[in-house]
Amino acid sequence: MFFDNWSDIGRVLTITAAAYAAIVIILRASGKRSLSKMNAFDFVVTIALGSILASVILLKDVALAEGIAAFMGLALLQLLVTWGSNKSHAFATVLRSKPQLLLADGKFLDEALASERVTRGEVEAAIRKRGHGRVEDVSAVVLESDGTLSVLCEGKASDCSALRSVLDPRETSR
Amino acid sequence: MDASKLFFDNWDVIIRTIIAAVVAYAGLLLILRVSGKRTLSKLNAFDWVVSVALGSTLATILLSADVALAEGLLALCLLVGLQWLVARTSIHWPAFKKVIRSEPRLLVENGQFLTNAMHDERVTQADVSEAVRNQGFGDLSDLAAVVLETDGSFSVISHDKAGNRSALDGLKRPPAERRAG
Repeated sequence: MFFDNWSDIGRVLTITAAAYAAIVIILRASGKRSLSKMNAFDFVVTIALGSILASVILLKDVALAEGIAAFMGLALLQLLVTWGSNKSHAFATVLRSKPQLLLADGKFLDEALASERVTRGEVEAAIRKRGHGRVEDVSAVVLESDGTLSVLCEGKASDCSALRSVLDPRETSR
Repeated sequence: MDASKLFFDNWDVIIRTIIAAVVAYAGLLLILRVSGKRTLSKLNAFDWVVSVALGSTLATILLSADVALAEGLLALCLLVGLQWLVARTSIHWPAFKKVIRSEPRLLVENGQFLTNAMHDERVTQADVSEAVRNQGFGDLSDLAAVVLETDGSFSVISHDKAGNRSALDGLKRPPAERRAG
């Protein structure tokens, strides 16, 4: 339970060094985007990458090459999906849900809240996190496609240019 | 143990890993797209745990030979499905919501530490001061409120942004201290 044998320890040391190096190289090659949290999916992939690293280090029946294959597979798929989303707008709309307005000019949009399964309490918490105490002062709260809530507080919702794609379905945002 | 096996087993497992990666990735993408943005939000602690579990399940599908793809995909569907059910029920049934999620808690009001609340939530004054500094405030008396949210983060609200405090409405606090905007 506490100690098996030195060859296992040696194995962990060797594999950790090699796997770590491999991961640094793969991530460096695939660019910042692999670890960004720009859409809902990036976060899950990041966790999966960490979990793969842990399995490679500790599980004896997972050889380093498999771990690297899994790692490269995920990094490549991520690359492919983000590249595709940038090239084709149709592809992006299929993959990413559109951001949804939940509160406009201080008023909760109850239908949107219900369809996105977000409670008023969660929206209020997001407003508090941004340091605001007055719901009526908030021009818009948007549920972004990565699941975060954006809180905007300047002017009227219809004047906010960052809300274009949310307010008008014809406007495109990639 | 054969040292070369550490680094490379055989091509079969590599190919299996790559096929599993493509199928599981596509499957997860589909499941998440259908279930909506809410699934991966981190609006409360439970959302976080499910997101991490999804990532970890994905990794296990790729690497573990004794987990068939179908089992893995089923696990992903179940996690997302349960999360959907909980969020859905919380919306329609407040009593359920109370059981599932903790309430946000006021820790500082009008520049004063609420020691009882802090004691209940096992938060020290140092923790709160750190959150306050994180938000760029140096003077506690500038603050209308510090709230411990259900996802474990702190909200720091200064007097000049507190307004009529309608975003603080749901919080437990003595009614006498409630101010009109």
